[in-house]
Amino acid sequence: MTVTTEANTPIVSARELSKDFTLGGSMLERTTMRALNAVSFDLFPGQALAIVGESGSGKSTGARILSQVHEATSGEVTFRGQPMHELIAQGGKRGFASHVQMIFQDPFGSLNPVHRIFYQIARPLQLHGKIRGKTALRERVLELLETVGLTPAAETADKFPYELSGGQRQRVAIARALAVEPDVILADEPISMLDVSIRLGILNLMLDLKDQHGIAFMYITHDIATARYFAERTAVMYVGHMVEWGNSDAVTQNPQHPYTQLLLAAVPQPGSQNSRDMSQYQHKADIPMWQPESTGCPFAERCLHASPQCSTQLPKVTQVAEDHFVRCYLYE
Amino acid sequence: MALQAFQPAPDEDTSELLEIKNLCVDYVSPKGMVRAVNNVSLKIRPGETLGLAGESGCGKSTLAFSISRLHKAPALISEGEIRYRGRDVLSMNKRTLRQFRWNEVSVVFQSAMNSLNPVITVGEQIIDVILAHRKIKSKDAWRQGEELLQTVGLHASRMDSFPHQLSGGMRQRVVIAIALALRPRLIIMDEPTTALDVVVEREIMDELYQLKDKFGFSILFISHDLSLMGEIADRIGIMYAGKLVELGTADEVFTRPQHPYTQGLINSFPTIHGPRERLYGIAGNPLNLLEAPEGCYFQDRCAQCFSPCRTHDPKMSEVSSTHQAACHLLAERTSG
Ligand SMILES: Nc1ncnc2c1ncn2[C@@H]1O[C@H](COP(=O)(O)OP(=O)(O)OP(=O)(O)O)[C@@H](O)[C@H]1O
Ligand SMILES: Nc1ncnc2c1ncn2[C@@H]1O[C@H](COP(=O)(O)OP(=O)(O)OP(=O)(O)O)[C@@H](O)[C@H]1O
Ligand code: SF4
Ligand code: SF4
Ligand SMILES: [Mg+2]
Ligand SMILES: [Mg+2]
Repeated sequence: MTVTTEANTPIVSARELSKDFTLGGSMLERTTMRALNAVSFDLFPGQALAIVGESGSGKSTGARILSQVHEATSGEVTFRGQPMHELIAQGGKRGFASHVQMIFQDPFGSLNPVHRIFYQIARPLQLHGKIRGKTALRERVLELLETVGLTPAAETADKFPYELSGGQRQRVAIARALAVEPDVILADEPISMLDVSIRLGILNLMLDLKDQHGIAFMYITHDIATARYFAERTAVMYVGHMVEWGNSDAVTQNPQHPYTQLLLAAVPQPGSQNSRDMSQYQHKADIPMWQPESTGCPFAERCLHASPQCSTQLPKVTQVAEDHFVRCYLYE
Repeated sequence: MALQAFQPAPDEDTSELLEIKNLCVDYVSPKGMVRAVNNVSLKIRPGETLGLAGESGCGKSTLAFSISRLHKAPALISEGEIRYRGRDVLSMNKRTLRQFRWNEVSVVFQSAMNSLNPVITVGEQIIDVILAHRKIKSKDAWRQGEELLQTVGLHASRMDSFPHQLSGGMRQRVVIAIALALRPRLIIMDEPTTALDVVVEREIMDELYQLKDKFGFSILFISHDLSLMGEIADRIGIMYAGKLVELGTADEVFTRPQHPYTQGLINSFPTIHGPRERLYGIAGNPLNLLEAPEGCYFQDRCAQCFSPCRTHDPKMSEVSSTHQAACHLLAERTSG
């Protein structure tokens, strides 16, 4: 198969993804919650899409669909134009996983404590049949360790995970993801558990991988400043919905959706006033649980601009600038 | 009454609420002794917020515990002095200490919102604290509890809720309400909002500062989030590997950081509105205290390290009357 991967054709496209979870034990108490509702996005080679938004808004759920942990309830994902389920039917789960790799929040839990670093990276190389022969394997492992800045590589390869710091372990996790030469890396809060002094090093490493290896990144974070630092594009989620997305500067410097405006007003900024009146951005109301039968805009109860239609029908997507989209009646 | 122990004698200097002098706290473990707080001196004034920042393991929580003498074995205060309104905290007897905690100084511990007792209602947890320190009827304590919940932005009916029925932000508000219950003059907050969303964090900080304006307490605010610190603190202390390496007003520390670690730390935080450019932060990895070197503890990660750094421990020296840092470069600059 010959498919061109130009920077302007998406490598992954998700269209109208929804994911329902069933909650509660007994038949009578059972309810269905919609963790993701009609979410669409594209990932481009050599570019990052940051996903920001409140806790529980569905950021990880989207990534878990791409990494085959969950199956979407509805909607479609295509990889280089081909439906994900077809690719999995042809090449199996592992075949698809060699294109899309995941990096998790917890660098402590994601490495097997009983194996040396060499093994942790050699294993995926062997499983995915990337390399033959002992010497070639060792060379490739050392090369990967060098790529992620774990030098001297030979020394690191002989260590056990407990002998490494959190940041070093996260670099091993990145090297392991790189081993299978993925086109896409899904990074779910990859720096939030690391020391503040080493977070930037990991972000810079991911920046280099994106620029030099042309890898497409999905970067999930609570930290909007790092989203803007790392990602060309940013998407904002609220209660299972993607409410605003586009060029990171447009979204962070010129937020349009009332929830994005609230979120940005809350971001701490050294030197600014320590008390801001958040009531100019929201009504106090509980964050709703979205259900398949829920209607309207998920932010309606907290929104200062809500009109009657906001609680009856989900607003459509409006393009407000070249690469800037929003789901809100104020712009329809 | 034990409470009277806290009425300062007329001739006592009360310009400082709390003064820590040369405090050292050690952990004794089979692998060796670790000095988690190493010769730290600082003062907290009435009504001010002092922020304490630094990476994981630098000793922030250990310092917070030892101020209220809540540290437990294997931690040991091996040297130094802690004075609260002129009184020697380290020599307080059990009874005085009990009055001192909660009444004078309360602590919101790291991840306290997850340590509320799951089988007891919020109301009972609040009135337990009040009844343990005040001779009042439980009916009145309950009413005070309801008022406390309202001051932190929760409905009084939440007194009957169990912790699991509340969101993380609501639980954190309960913890703050408990810390405020006896109107202390100093609240030590160890990463009070780290696990929360920025919007919830903002709401809680706003409420806290309204309460602070109303009651006038001081806050020792511990966090690794320098951005938040730069916004809420009057003064900031930066710790590295157990030592206080820089102390100054928030403005001084942010706009004229002197210590290379502080400079690196500030450069590690991308800004939300500033220019989008590559930042470099700090090279290397945090120091393992069991392998602490001679001289400056930051030497292995410092791009400006020079010969005295390998042999001599840099002492705090003055940059201005409100600003100090512990780095050999300061002496170089003044002499050269
Ligand atoms: N396996 C599951 N079963 C039931 N509910 C789930 C499951 N996984 C996620 N959820 C729910 O789906 C919603 C979205 O979860 P998700 O983990 O995607 O949020 P998130 O945006 O990643 O949050 P956070 O920032 O806290 O990581 C949440 O309400 C969560 O409780
Ligand atoms: N119970 C203990 N026994 C031995 N050493 C300990 C113990 N508790 C803490 N330490 C050590 O003391 C040092 C300081 O720990 P402390 O918890 O005060 O750090 P911290 O600055 O609060 O870190 P964090 O940001 O992760 O909360 C660390 O190096 C830690 O390894
Ligand atoms: S659609 Fe309506 S409720 Fe939703 S954000 Fe826009 S104005 Fe507010
Ligand atoms: S004392 Fe030396 S090693 Fe330490 S921070 Fe200053 S210049 Fe760097
Ligand atoms: Mg998540
Ligand atoms: Mg701590």
